[in-house]
Amino acid sequence: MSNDVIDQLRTYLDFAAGESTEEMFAVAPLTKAGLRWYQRGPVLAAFAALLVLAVAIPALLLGNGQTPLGSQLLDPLDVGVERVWPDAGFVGNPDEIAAEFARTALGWVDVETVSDLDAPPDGPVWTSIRHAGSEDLDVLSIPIGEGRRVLIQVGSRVVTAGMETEDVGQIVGIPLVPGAVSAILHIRFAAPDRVEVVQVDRSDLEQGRVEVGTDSAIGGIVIVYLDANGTALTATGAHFGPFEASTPTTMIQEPTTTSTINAATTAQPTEGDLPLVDAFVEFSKNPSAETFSNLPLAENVSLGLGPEIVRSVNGESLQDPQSWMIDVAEFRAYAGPFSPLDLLRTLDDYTVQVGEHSHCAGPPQPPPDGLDDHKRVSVQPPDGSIDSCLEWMTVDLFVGQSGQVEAITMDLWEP
Amino acid sequence: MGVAQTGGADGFYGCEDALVLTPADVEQQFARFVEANEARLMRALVGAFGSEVGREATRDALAYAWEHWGRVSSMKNAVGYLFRVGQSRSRSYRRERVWFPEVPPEDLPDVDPRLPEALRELSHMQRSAVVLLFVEELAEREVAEALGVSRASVRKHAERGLAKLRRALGVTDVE
Repeated sequence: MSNDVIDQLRTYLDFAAGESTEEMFAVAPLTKAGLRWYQRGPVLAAFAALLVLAVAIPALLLGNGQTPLGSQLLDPLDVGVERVWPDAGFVGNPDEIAAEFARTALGWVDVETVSDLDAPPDGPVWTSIRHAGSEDLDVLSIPIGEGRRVLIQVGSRVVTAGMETEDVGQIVGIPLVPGAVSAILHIRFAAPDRVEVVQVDRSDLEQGRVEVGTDSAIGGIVIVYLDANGTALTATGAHFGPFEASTPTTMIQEPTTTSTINAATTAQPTEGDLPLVDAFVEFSKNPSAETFSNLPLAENVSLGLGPEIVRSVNGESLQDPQSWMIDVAEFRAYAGPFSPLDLLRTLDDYTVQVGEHSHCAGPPQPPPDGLDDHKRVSVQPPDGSIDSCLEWMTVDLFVGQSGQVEAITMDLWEP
Repeated sequence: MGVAQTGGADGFYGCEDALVLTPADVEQQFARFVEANEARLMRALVGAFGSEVGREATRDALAYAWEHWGRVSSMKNAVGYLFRVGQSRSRSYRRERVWFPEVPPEDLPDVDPRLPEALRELSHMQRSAVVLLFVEELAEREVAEALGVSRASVRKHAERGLAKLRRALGVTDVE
């Protein structure tokens, strides 16, 4: 489209955007992702780190409270399935869990932690762990209820895990860390459910991969990098679950955790639940009088976002897809308006759950007020079908005593 | 399940890159991506959130891209996806009022000085839709994905936003 306004806009936005971020990335390419709000000024930081290293290394050799030998870091960590650490959660705030991870996993005792003050306390929070002689280490924690938090990401390097097509066994991709001569991998396996500690040497690090010799699925991984003295330099960690083997034994033990569900508040979908969901998905893709007639809607239907009901509409009016619109400016950091139909329309395949359902890296959400006694049938993308929590969504149908759908809510993941 | 995976339909998403390419190769690959897409992403996020916030959000989105490079590198609509990431990250930097710098006439003689104020007067969705659709020329579907709304909403916001800009700048000739 050629248009004078558009040309002006393009020229102006180039000016308003200013210089490129190339300089930022050129400083320390392997630590690109560490450049968060508290890490600006990478050149100064790099000089400062060198200075600290020069001063700190002799002190470390003399012993200053830091674990001197990697052998002391070989106790298996409580690595999780859909979380990095600890599987059972840790009672404390973002700073406290970060400090505890530093102490437990890295042997770092004297650390300073800095959490993102702008982050809502009931959501994901990045915390930077500062330790003399080491790069700052970022960890991302989320609340899981009852005052507990878990780490869902450690560090900024990309950890991969999986099975190559032609091989038997799991391959873990190990990101490169300058100065590391060995590493300790804490890996949560599915079958049998266990955490194994694997120590790898320089050659494995140089290859960027290690085969862990089992075809059992991997849940979480923590990689601790060591220098020549066996001192922890930094760590990285990611999670890949869930895996089926652990579901009955470990996932139902806690009432409110990341994708862990209270067994007492959940049920298997019945034969009637699946056609109900199918009917809504079909209507979303082909809205017509015929597909609408399959929706068992109550006379009045409430529409909501997450745990909040936004408005009520006449059930018959929902034959018009525009009536499904929830005109809210912003929800979970996405801009409105929103429509459950827009979400359902994108689903080629889906998972149906009844009752309390899991969220992607977040605790289950309660039903809206007044709907506690309704049957909650939710539809979500199936496991493995999305690349990121950013793509996660749910549409929840609340079925009343009459068997009619009295409320419809949708939810998205907020990074 | 049997196989731990980080995503992707064929099981081991991003693994081939991680295993076959050297770290230097991956760095170069990422650098090429930044070179090709940074300006587009920056314009889009600056257009949506103003100069300061948009720049910060761009940095965060590119940092996110590097953290998740195995996944982002294979996306068809990576700019749209990173716009969404930047949009989410921008919450940390939001100001009460979206800020756009004044137009320096000597540097931008072809830009109407009223443009910053006109941009400020648009809603966030209108700015985003106009910039992504008309300036960055993303497909309507891609813009809908990036903004998390329907294609009809994209059209509506883009058309209204553009109309308001035209009115504010007194532009009447429409091609």
